Amino acid sequence: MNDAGKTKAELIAELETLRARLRELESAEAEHERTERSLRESEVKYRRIFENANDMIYTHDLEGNFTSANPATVRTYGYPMDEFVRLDISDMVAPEYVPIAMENLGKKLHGITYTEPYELLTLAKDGSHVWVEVSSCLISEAGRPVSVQGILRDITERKRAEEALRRARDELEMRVQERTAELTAANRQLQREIAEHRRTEEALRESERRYRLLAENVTDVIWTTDLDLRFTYISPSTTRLRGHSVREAMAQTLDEMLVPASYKRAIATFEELPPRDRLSEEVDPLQSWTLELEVTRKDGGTVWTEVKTSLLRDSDGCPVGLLGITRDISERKRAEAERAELQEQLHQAQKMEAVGQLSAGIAHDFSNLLAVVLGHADRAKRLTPADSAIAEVLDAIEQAGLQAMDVAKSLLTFSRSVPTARESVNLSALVEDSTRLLRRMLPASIASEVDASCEAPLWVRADSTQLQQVILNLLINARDAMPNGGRLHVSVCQANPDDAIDLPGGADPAPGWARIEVSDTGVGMSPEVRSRVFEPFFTTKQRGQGAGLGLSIVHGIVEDHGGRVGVRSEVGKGSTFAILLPCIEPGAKVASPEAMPAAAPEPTGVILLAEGHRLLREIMVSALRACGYEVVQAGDGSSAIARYEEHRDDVGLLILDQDLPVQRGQDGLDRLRAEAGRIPVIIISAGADAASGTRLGDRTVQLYRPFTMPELCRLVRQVLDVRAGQEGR
Amino acid sequence: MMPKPIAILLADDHAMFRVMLEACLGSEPDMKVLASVSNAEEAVAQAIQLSPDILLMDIDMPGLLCFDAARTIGARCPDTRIIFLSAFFHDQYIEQALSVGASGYVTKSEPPSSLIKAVRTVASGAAYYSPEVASRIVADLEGPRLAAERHTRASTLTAREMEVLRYLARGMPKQEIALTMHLSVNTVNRHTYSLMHKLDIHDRVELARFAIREGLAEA
Repeated sequence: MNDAGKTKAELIAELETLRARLRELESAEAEHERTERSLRESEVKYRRIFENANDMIYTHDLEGNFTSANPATVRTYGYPMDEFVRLDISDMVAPEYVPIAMENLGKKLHGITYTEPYELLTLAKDGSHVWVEVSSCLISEAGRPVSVQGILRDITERKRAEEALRRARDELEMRVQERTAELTAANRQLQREIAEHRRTEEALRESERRYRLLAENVTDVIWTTDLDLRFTYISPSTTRLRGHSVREAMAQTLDEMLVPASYKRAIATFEELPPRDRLSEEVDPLQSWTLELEVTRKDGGTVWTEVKTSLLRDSDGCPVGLLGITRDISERKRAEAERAELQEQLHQAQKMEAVGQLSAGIAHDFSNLLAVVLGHADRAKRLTPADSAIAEVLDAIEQAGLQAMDVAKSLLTFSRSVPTARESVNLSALVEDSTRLLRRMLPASIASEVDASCEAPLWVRADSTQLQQVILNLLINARDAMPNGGRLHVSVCQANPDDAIDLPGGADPAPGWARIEVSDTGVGMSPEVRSRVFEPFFTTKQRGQGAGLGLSIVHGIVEDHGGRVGVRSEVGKGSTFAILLPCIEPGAKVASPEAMPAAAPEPTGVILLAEGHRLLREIMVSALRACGYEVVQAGDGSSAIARYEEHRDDVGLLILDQDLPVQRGQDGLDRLRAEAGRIPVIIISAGADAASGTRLGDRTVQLYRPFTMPELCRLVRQVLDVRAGQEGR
Repeated sequence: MMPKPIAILLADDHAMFRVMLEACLGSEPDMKVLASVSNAEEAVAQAIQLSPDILLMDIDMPGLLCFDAARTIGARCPDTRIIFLSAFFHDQYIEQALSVGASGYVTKSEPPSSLIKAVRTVASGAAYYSPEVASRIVADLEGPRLAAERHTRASTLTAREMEVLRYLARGMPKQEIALTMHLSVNTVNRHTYSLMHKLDIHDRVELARFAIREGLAEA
């Protein structure tokens, strides 16, 4: 626009505007100058701070390129300024810390204006490390971030101090750790050693305990001696074995500890050892000696032991004594002895059995021949007048034959080939009776004594006649053993299985045994004689004084009674014969023969016996005839009737088998039974609980099977007596 | 009229005894010896052929057992009565004699007069057993038997007891038997007690002898 066209007013107004403008400009310039001055002053102030600050101050753009740095920075890092401002963060920061620096930069760029100071390791130009603590902020212009300004505080010294401290600490720690490790190692070692010691100690303790237990509690006795055979140790089990305390046992010498024979054997064994100086070389370390030795006991007895001995050596292997283990083998010895004894007894029994069989065979043939001799003698006697001289000769032959027959019977008794009648026998009474008989036969020079005073009578199941023969034979034997007099002792008592007498067999106390002993103070027997004393025909008597069968008979009878006989004897000290017999309950019932009752004193008439079984009938007839009765017999009903009819007037008793076979004539048999009204009848019937003799009717009684012949005869006698009594009234 | 003599058959292997007996019996007016033989087989044959009243037969003859012969004769010749002869009494023989129905049993140790008496007794219809034997005879349901009858005692034992018996007979101690049989000693004792009780034998030697006799152990 052109001024010419403007009015004055306009120009004045424009002028006034200009003036105002000028004033504004002048005012603004003054302001500007003030500001500039203020800024300059401020810049100086800050520059002074910036340039004099000990801390490093810098700026870098948002990419991390340094844009400024104060002298402290340049001084610290050694870079000239122009060089420094061409660096970026990665040039300055140690590589391992770059991520931290970039992370903080990132935080600022993301609007986090304040971050806690952080530490960085930076690198000076010469490569040295400069530890800095960074405190930075984001610089914005016009609301837009343009750069970052930061202050670095050199903390190298602190870091170094810290590092030194850390190192010192580390070192200390390390040393502590090292020391600790050493201590730990030492401790571990110590613990290991302690543990080892403990284990060793425990093992030792255990071992010691084991050995102690072993030594002190085993049944075996463990002992040691020195080379002079003096005891250095004996386990407590010695007390159990020998009765001595350990102290007492230790004080004993070997010869006190062993019976002489065993001592001799032990010494003989040790004498075979080489001298002490050659023991070590010449004796095998594993060598041992096993001996069976009889050891003395405190109570005066002895016990058999097995002793296993070896050399006791010290840790260098040098022999210092003996080590031994003594074991009680008395049970084994006892079993061996029992077995040997049993074998011997068995052998003896077999021998006696064989001799018995031989004797029986001889007796058999002998009897046959004697029967022939006696038979012919008998016949010859009958053919010869009684008053002729030949008759006397025949008598003599017969007598000799009968005596010889007695010898044969004795042999049979020895071989147990004769039947015996067993019954309950009061042994004490039997012995007393037997000895009473002998007393009259004893010469005055022999004193006799009988002890049969048992607490209770002893009962045995025996043939009393045979037992009497046993006692008599023993008494005669004892008498003959004392030609110059002496003492004879006979006793009966309850047997004690442990009694010392050479009795065969392991005595079994149940159910109780009776013992008879016959002792004399005579000449006694040698072991050889003793071992053969029961053999038949073995005798020490002079020819003609004894056949040598007496003790054989004793043996045979006792054995046959389930008993045992033994003998103890010494030459010049007499003999004791002992007999064991199994006892029975007092009065126990045994099958024993009964004597046949005597026949009725008055005539009884004929007995009609009707029994179906032929042999039984014949035996009954025989038994009744033996009692003096006249008997007619019938085997069935019809013949019974026939016999009855034949003897009708003489029949005084009917004995009828209830089951008599009846083929015909049942009516007749019934009639026969009906005769009971006139004569007595015994009906034989099958077994029942009722006792025989049960009265059926006035004159009829029952006889139940089984019955013995004496029972039959007794009942017959009873019935006939009743009948006689009734008729007498 | 003279009564018919007792017809007798003799059987004995002992010739001298036979001759003596034949002479003794033959001299008796009421007796007649029909024949004499030396063994049981001949006895059977002659008995069947001659039907004697009495057969006097020795128990101990060789060959066929005389008891078997007696059974055969009893069946074939019911009227012939048998009298056994033996050197001795034996329960076992007596039992057998009773079981085969023999009417008599005479030992040779008895005088000839006893034998003659026995023949007459049996011929008269009675039995002839000696008084000791007769007193032990029991009349039972099946006929006569001996009171103390012998059973096979071993048959009463259990298998275990039999085993124990065998070991005992060998002389084994009870401890060893217990070990062998895997039993306690008490059990072995119990078996021992039981078998001793059953056998009525009360000592080990006698047990051993019994076992040997019964063939349970070797001698």
